[in-house]
Amino acid sequence: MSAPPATAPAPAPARFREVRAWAARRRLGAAIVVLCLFGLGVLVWNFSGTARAFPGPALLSAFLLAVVLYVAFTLLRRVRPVRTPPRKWSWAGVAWGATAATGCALLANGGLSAVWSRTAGVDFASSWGAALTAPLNEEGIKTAGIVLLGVAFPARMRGPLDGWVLGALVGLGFQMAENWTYALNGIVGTGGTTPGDAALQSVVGRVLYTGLGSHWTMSAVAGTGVGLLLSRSPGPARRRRAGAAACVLTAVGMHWLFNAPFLGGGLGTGVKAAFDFLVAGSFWIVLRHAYRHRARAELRAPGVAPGADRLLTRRGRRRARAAVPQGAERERYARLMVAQLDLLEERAGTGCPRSAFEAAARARVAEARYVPSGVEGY
Amino acid sequence: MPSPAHTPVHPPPPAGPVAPGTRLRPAAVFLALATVVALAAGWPLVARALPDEEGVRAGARLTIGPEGAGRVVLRVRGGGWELSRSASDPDSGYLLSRAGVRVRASRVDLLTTDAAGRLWPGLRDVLRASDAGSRLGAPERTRTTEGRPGRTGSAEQGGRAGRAFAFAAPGEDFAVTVVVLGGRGAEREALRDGYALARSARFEGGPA
Repeated sequence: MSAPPATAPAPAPARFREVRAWAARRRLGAAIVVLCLFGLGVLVWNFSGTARAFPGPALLSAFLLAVVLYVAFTLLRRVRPVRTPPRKWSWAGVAWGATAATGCALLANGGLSAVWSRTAGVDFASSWGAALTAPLNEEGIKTAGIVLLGVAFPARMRGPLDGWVLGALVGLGFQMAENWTYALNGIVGTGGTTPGDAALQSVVGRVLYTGLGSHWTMSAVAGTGVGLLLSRSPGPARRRRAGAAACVLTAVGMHWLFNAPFLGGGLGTGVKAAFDFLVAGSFWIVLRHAYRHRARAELRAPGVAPGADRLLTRRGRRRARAAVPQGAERERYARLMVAQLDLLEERAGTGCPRSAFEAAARARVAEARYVPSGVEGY
Repeated sequence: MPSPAHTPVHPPPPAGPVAPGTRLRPAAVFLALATVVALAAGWPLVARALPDEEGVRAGARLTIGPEGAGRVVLRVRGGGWELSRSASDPDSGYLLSRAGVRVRASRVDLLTTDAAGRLWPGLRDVLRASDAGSRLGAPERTRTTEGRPGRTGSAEQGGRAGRAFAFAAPGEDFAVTVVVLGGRGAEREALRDGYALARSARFEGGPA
């Protein structure tokens, strides 16, 4: 047995932690991909037969929903103040909602609906089954995805506003996949007599009538809670957890109201959708206002150059970039702007920046600002 | 040109972490994964542990259709039928079984005025959607016990054989399809009772 070395090598705990966290995030990313593939498999298993039997309407509804998805995806990303979130992060949210969440919810809903009908009878299950099944299962699985993505991409989850956006994108993916399954079920529900009309009627109704107040609104509210939970914010952790729980329960309540058998007619459903839209919209107005307020306060801090509030708007940044001569200089300036925005957004996320992320953002700003001696810098 | 937010820094900064090594929040990850697994696998397992069959007495009325919309009423013929609670919904349809015979009765919405004429080819496609090997024979004329005209024909699905029935409501705004299939060793009397159940269809209400 060899004796331990007299002098141990210099420890590098920070670097070690970094590598370990990177490896753990890779494993988490793989788990998310596996769950998405599993959910997709469940959807294919359940609906490929109907899609094969009615290929035209299945493709038509998929195409229409893909167009709606792209438009809504663009809008939901654009409503985030200061900067649109990265595409990869945004698509990851949509992918979770459209595959893992929809597929797993299909299994969970089938199981819980069967529990209701087997214990309380088919009449009760028919009236209350949806209201007692979907809010629990669907909100639970969608929110779990927001948590997993929030942990897998920690730099992007700076506060409740990012949680709202990610939640809305997860809900949007879920909504579009669910709409497609409803379109196929609509074909079967009309006995296959008018498959094109049935699919079109289902898609149009669910996009134009209830689309504004469906899954994306509920998940945006739940996502706000996840953002609150995963970010640093002033105040005790218990209050943050209570706030997060309140957001998730609000989302469950919104879903319960939407699926409840009362106010079930055409007008009632419209009222419920409008209510959910207003709730999610109110969350957005409050979060956006608070976020912009913090960002402006950051830019008014001592030492910040005058005119820095140009960073806050896309138009301001475009103009600032255009003022720099084209070529390598403008590219360097754009890199600096991105680094500065990373720092600004980390500080404005909750007003209580995470030290590691703030340090990294500061390092990137310094790196972007560095120019070899003899060359004019900014 | 001045920087929008900070004063220039000329000496190169010390190499800092590009992506900070924050911990992975194992509790949050565990809770999220456990939620997904518990909901997606837990509820189906709980449902499996509960009995699904519910006895249906001879002469019982099965009403299909949501309140306020047109409904169809079927009358159960013979005793010993069992209703699958998890596969039945008073709004859309019922699944019954007895002695190797399965009866699937479904209410069908007819969206257009000419949809009633496509009930039979539509039923063929719907059967193929759940089993690509399904077969539906040529339709023949038939009538409900109340004299309402409809279609019937031989049906095969998943190794079971029997007959299918389709009847449109008087206003042709909705219809009922009934598929009666028996496996090997299925009682002929149960098949006959299944066919009689299909022909017992009686339509109530509806906007038309």
